[in-house]
Amino acid sequence: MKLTSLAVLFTVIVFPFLTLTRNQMKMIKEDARLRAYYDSVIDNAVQDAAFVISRSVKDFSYGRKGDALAVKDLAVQTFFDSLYYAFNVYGNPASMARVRACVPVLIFIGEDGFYLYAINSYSDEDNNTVMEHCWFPKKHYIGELLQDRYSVRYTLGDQVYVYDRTNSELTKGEYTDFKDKIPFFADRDNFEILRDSAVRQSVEKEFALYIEKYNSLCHKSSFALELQFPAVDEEDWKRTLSDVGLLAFAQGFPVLHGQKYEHYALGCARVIRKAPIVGYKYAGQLYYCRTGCEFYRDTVRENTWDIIYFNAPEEAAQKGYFPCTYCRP
Amino acid sequence: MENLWWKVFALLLCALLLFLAPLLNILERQDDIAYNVVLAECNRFVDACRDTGYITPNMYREFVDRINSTGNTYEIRLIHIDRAVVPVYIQTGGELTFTGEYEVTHITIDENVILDTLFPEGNASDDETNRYELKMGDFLFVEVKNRGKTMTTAIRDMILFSDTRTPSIFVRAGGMVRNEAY
Repeated sequence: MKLTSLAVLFTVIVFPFLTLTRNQMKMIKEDARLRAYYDSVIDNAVQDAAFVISRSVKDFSYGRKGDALAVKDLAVQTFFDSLYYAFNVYGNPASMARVRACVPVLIFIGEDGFYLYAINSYSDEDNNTVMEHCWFPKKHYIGELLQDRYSVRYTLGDQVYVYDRTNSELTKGEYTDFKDKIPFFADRDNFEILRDSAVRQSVEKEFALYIEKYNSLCHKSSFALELQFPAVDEEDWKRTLSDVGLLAFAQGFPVLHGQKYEHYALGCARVIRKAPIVGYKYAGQLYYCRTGCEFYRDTVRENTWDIIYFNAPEEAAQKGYFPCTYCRP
Repeated sequence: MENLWWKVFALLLCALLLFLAPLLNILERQDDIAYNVVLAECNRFVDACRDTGYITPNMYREFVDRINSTGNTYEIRLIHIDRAVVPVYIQTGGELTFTGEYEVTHITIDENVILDTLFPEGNASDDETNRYELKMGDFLFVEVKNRGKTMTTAIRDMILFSDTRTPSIFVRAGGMVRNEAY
């Protein structure tokens, strides 16, 4: 065989393989691009919602609560508006419904409880079955039973509600108020571990229950959609569940290749000021420090040296208070 | 005679493989780079606007210059969605009664309005007076797609005898305005 024939034969054999791999590579590339785009759109929408939350509660100073009911509605509305505009489907009901269906669950993390905003099915007054997003009842952050008698309802702050099972008594207060009854509460670190795990477990449990409900709904309507429990990183849980915010789970956006699209996004509004600044007089000198500071907890509070609260270090410094040398707030 | 056709075929294959295929490959890489540049610049421009709450002629000009440096021509669309909160009244027999609720309304503002503010006619554009101001809570999006065909699309269309109409570079970026720094 001549050289040209050989070359032609070679090309004819190799060319289809090259084309196939090339197309596959292209598809993978486009797919990655698409996924990155969805990620950015959802992250953006959640941040917009968090921005709206923090803006609505910005005016409330430390210790006062915003109107959680109105805020959560506003937050989810903003989230979906942002999604609609990002996908350019605002005003097109079919496409809007398509987008909504891809975000089956939103969780609003409130200060003393959380709300699920998720797809639910109900029949309206004309007896038609409607499937749309609904608010589920508020759930509290309930921890494990302590000392075999105290069940504790946590908040995102330092407030706790302790229910004594033996004498059916509910008491409310700062966690340090209960340190005689519950030894875990004597130490801030221990308390925070308990609180974080309580918050996380409550949310996870509720979410798992909802997944069951959603999947059975889908089976009944013979949809081929299945919700899975998302793999959320440890740090992300910690980051989200420490302040008022919104948690969105998205899945099922159309992709080109590989696994089903799945993404979660969290937006934190940073509205709870956990450690306000406290000022005190020590040895004739004015100091300010965080309420979590060891020196403050162990020494200052016992003696109550002209304690005064501030919202920010700047505010304290303006009044002539020095930063505490222990915690450097 | 048979040998001649064989040679012509080989020549065509040769041209395809030695010239067009590598050229297409290089141009595709270039398109990828252009896409990445456009994506990054769109996000940068729109994020700057969202974080400051306004668009100045200089910001816009710089953005256009930057994406034009990729060598393609683009169609740019700015979309400003004005958000307003209005109370809900019910009209019964000519009388308005307040329902106690409110509604969020959106009005999409045409790009011409934005561009007329930025670059008014017969007026040297100035950053201070000609900036377009947005409100906190408004949405701002920018949409960029290439006009006509990129080189890659043109060559691919030539080889495959097709006519691609969809843009090969398309980016839409934006979100809520978060600041009013004016």
